Amino acid sequence: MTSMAAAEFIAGGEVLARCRRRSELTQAQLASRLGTTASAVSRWERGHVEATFDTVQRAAATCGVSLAAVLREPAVDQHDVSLLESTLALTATERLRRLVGHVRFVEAARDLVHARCPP
Amino acid sequence: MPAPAFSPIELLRLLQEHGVRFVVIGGLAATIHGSPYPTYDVDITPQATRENLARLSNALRALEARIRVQGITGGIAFEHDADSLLAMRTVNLVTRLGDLDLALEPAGVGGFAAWDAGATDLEVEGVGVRLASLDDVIRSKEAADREKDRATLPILRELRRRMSR
Repeated sequence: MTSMAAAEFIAGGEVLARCRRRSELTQAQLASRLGTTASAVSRWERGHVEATFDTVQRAAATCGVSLAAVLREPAVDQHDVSLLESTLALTATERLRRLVGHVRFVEAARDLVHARCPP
Repeated sequence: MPAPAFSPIELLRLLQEHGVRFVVIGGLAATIHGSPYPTYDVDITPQATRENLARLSNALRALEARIRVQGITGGIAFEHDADSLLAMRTVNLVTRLGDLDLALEPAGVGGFAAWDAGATDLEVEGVGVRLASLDDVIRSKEAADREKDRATLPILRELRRRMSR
C-alpha cells in the first residue's frame, strides 16, 4: 500500500479528482457547479493545466467533502491495482481462504520475532 | 485458552448455528467484496433484540470469548447476557476462532436494520452470510476516519468503481 499522505506530493488536479470521485459526481456535473466546462475539469484532472489551490478548495466545498481528509488520503498505485485485479479473479470463498493464509503467516512471523526478541 | 487460530468461516458458522442474526461489516466484508487488503478480525453488527442478543451470548460462550485487551494475551474473562451486550454497544473480543468485534451501531450507517437494508445474502462453504454492501462499508470507514480506515478507502473506492462498471 502506498503511503503518499503528504500533501506536497499531490498535484491539484489529483486532489480535485479525488473530491469529485468521493461525491460520485461526473466531470460535467462538477464543471456545472463550478461554472466551468467538463473539458476544463478534465484538463485539471489529467494535469494538462495546474488547478489552483482556490479551485481545489471550491471543488471540495462543492463536493461536500473535507479537503483536509482528502489530502491525508494515500493514493492507489499500480501495485494496489494489480492486487485488486488478482483478488477480483477469486471467489468469495477463495478470498477468505487467502486471508486466513495471510493472517496465519503474519501470526507465525510475529511469534518467531517475539521468541527471538521478546517485547 | 490455546492461541486462537483465525478461522472466520468457522466463526461465522458457529454464530449461524446458534441462530444469531447479524450482518458482516468492516474489513472482512471488504475482503469478501474483493479488497486485497488483509483484516485480522471478524466485524459484525448483530440485530439488537433481546432474543437475538441472548442467542449471541450463548454463541460467545461456545466461542470462549473474552474481552480483547492490548498486552494481555488471551484477553480478560467477562460475564455476559442479552442485557449486558445491549449496554456495551461495542466490544472487541478474542475467541477460540479468532478476534471478533461486535458493534450495535457501527459508525456512519446506523444499527442492524440500516446495514441489513443494503446487505446481500451469500453462501461460503455452506455458511449463509449476510454481507454488508460495499457502499455501507465505505460510508462507515469514512465516518470512523481512523488511520487504518483512511489507508484502505482509496482501494475500496477503486473496487466500487470496478464493481459498478
